[in-house]
Amino acid sequence: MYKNEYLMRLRKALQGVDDEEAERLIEYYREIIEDGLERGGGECFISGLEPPELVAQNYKREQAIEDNNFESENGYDESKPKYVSQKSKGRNGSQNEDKPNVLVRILMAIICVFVAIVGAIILFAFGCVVFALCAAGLAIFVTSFGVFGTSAAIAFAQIGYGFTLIAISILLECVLVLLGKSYALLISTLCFKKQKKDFKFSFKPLIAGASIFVVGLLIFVISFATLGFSMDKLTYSDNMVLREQEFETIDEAFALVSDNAEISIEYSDDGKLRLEYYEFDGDDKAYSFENGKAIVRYASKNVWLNRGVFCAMANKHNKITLYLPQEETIALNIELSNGAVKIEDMGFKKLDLSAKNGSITLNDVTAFDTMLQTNNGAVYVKNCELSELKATTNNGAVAIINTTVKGEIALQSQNGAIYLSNATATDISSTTNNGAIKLENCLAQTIYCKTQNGEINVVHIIGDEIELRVSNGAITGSIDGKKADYIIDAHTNVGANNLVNSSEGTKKLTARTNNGAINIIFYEG
Amino acid sequence: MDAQMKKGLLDVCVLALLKRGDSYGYELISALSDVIEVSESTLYPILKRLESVGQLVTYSREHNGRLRRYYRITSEGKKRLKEFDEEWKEMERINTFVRGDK
Repeated sequence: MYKNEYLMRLRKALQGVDDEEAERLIEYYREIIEDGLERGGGECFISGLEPPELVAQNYKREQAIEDNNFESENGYDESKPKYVSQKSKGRNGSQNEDKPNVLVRILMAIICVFVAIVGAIILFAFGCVVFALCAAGLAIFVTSFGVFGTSAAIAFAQIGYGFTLIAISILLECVLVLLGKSYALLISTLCFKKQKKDFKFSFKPLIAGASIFVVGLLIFVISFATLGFSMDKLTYSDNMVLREQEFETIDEAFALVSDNAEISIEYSDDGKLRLEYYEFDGDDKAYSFENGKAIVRYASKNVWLNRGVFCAMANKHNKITLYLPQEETIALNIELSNGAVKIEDMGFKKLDLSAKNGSITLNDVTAFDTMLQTNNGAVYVKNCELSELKATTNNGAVAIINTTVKGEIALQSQNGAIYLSNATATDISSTTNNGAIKLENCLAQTIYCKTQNGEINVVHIIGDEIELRVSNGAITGSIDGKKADYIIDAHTNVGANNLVNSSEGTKKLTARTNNGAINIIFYEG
Repeated sequence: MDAQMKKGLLDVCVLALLKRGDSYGYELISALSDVIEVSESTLYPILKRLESVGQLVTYSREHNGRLRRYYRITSEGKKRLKEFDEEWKEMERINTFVRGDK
């Protein structure tokens, strides 16, 4: 008989025995057979063993005796009266205890599934963080070689930083493994009532992680020390220079285009139009003048590779300051890809600002035509006097506060709320797809508000022609004026409506919603 | 020999062997069969029981590219051996009485 045949027969004979127990017994025999064969026993050794069926039978008998002993020991326990044990034995009570009723079992199953899912999600999220950290560390380490040309100290600081990040991810990985093991243990105990005993934790990766951490930190501290612990030197390269571009003749319109910058606008002392910006010495020039537009581009400069992660993190070099003459005759046009635009206390003939990713803020600004445009970002206009205001955003809110516009205010948003407070204009039009619209103390001849999802709330608004339209949401608030003056057209498909339609009047109020209540009151004073 | 008595004796025999040094299944059977008749299937439950009462511990070590389970006596096991020594003295007294030598 061969070893495998013997073990297979044993496994078959052990059917009905707890898996783990059977496995242990099989392992015991495998080991003995292998040892016997090793000593030169040959196949005779296996034939000399008790037949597997007998082994299994003996094992089961032994087990039954053991269980019985355990039972009777429990039975004679002082805390339990003797008859309890006998009674329970009589109707196989021990099995009853092992198998709780169906409800408890279902509850247990639900808890098991819940714990399994939650634990898996937590472990997965943690694993993602560890992975991201490690990837960042590697990326920083790799890009550090690009910096050697410009500054060895920054390159070394970056190498150290990358090392530390990698080390932290290794240490976290150890925690993750430990968590994973305890989680597996928890699940196996909870769901299968089994415990794996060989639950060992190796300190080797911990020590490795800690050593890399110390080395990385040392490299970082030493290179940072050679820079005199100056954050400015770490985040600015030494050969960073401030450039100046002066425009002698002002042709009343000025256009500035940039891809990734922080723009500030100020009045100049000498009445000249000047542009100040930072760029790295020796680079291709960031500045150019094309088609009547001043262009400052940073995108072509691979900041990560050539300047290091610290410069990229600081982002201070992408700073542009525009100095304007103190005359309010300039038409300013700014196109920005990434970054915010903020203008305070200035006057313009015309303002045309567009920021793809960034907000636009106007505070104490006077201008004639004003066009504000952003894809991802909010638009704030406060304390301004304008001739006309057009503001559009895709993702972001629009807020107009204490602002007087001689002509029309047109506001548009895809996803975001619109808020107007103390705004005066000939016409106010505000439309949004997803978001609420709120108007407070606004005055205009025509007021038009439209939203798909969101409610419209008007407070003390004055207008000859007011149109409020919602698809899903309520229309509420108050209008300053006599109700009798208005031709009212109010309708809702679902919800209460406190307005009574009327066809007599000089002014007009339209309030329509598909799904929501209408509640508008009039202050007649 | 009475089965219960033999079982008890096997317990202490195993512990006595392990007191001389850590050992594994095949070696234990070889050494035991010199003094007492024992088969693999008899030894197994003994080892299991001794482990469960904490008189021995097991660990795995590599041998010729496979894992072999080793057994090591614990202080509990050594205590059991001492107790057996005391019990044996009592047995001897009983034995003398039974023979009626005195």
